Amino acid sequence: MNDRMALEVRELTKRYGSTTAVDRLTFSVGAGTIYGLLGPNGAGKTTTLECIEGLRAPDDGSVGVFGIDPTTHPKELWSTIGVQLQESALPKTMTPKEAVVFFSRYHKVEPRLDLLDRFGLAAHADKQYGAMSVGQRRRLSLALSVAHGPALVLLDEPTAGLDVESRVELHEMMRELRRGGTTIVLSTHDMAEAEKLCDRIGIIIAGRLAIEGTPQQVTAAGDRRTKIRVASMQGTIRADAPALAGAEPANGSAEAHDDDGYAAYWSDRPADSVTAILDYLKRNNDELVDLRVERPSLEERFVEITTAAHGGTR
Amino acid sequence: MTGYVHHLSVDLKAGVRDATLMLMNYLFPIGFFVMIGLFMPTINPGFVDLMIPGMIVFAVMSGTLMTIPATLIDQRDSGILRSYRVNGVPSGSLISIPIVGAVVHMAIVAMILTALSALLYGAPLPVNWAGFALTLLLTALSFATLSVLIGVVAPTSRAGTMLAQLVYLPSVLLGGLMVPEELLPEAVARGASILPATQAMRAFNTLAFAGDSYAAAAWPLLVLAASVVLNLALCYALFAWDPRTSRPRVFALLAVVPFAVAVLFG
Repeated sequence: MNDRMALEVRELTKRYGSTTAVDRLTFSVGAGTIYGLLGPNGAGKTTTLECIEGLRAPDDGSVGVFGIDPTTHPKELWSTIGVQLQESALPKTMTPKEAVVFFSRYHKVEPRLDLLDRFGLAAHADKQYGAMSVGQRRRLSLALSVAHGPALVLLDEPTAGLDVESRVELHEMMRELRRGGTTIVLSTHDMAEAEKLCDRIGIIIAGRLAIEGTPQQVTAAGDRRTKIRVASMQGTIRADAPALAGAEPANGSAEAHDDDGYAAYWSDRPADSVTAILDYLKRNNDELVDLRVERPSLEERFVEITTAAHGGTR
Repeated sequence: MTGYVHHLSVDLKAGVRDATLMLMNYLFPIGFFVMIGLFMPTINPGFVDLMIPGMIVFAVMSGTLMTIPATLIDQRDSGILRSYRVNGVPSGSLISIPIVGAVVHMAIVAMILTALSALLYGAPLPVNWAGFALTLLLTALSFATLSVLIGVVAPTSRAGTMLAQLVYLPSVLLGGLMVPEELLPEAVARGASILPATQAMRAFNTLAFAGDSYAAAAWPLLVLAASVVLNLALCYALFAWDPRTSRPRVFALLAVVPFAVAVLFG
């Protein structure tokens, strides 16, 4: 990671007819980092990526990829970036081996057939694209996006539709790319993915950047209380929902009587609250079954932001 | 090997690997030829004289109009073209490679049909082989460029199929493939000049099989050549990587101009 900027987006605006998909969006991505673009459906993430990728011309503002303007220098851009599009495909008769060679020829680089091994596709190198599984296609798409050694890789929902094992593999591949100095911009709906992978994230709502920072900063900027969930043998705390030191039952009875027999509390002082819970159970001759102290997650923060943006109607 | 040459080799392989392309490029026209050769000469004894050019034009139409538009539309709709674009594949490759590929496939199928026609049915061979090759080249290029143009401007697969059929079906019936142009009513024959197949058949019949001079076949050859140039220009002007890109598709109608001129003056 260094201070050099891989991507600088300034006041980017893109309209489709009377709809403004991206509205004066500004953010930058440091070289060698993973940046997550988050947002609900229709927020403008894909349009933003397409402007960066040179697939759409901005109506206003500017994009610089290592100083390259996508609208005026697309050829330089496409040798600098690697792209995994949200909706992309290959001809159904093309094999992974052919695809690597095919794009390498156009990029004027030596084909990196070793990538097929690295991305778990060596056994499927001669399988036709039409016969490949979703996971294999995603891995191939990622392999192709890095086959020409791009300095910046743009991934649009790369793990959508993948099983857990494939997701874990892809995450490890992305970390490996970052360790090798590649910058990654990742658009995702998966908050856990963003929290685990990204150095910085930006949440886009209605084409505008609602908040930006490290996942920890973004999470901490919201409700700072900690959620405590407790289950006891006789369920006394769940039934009584007593007031406890530094804690209050979570937002009314529905959440207080959480799923699977747990009682839920929001706490400003988790240590005091946990002690109070244990004291309460002891006083009532009840026995602790499970106690969970959960700091607010990025997902909860995301819901908070999107709900606020929609006037609390979501 | 450059990207373009490698792309072309991949496209040629796909023409054999892909079951639909294989069917329309080779199996369907050859199968149709064998079948029609069995009974058509008894219905129309003059058909044997038309057999080689007629079946070649039929094969060219099947291998271009019935495959190229659908492939291009599918590539655009499924995001293949966008994948190509972000990897630096130029639009020129995507326009020209299907055309070059079609010419190669059509040259092969034309050789097969010519040989089989002579061997199985005693069809007369061309007397001017250079004129035959020139006409075949212009015919394949004209239909291939028209097919790419349909693929470029058709908004959906259904529209692409409809546009292709709009050329294909009248060509089979009125283009002189099955019935000599001379047997058609004069007004119909003149109107049929609007079809590329008619121009191709005229060029084949006069230049390649009757052994007439190039001057005698100048009109159909010029019309076919003009259509190639015009279709290519329109393909480049109207090409879009993305189905959502709006463009003035109506300009594609200019592709009719050379044939309309042939109707009026040819």
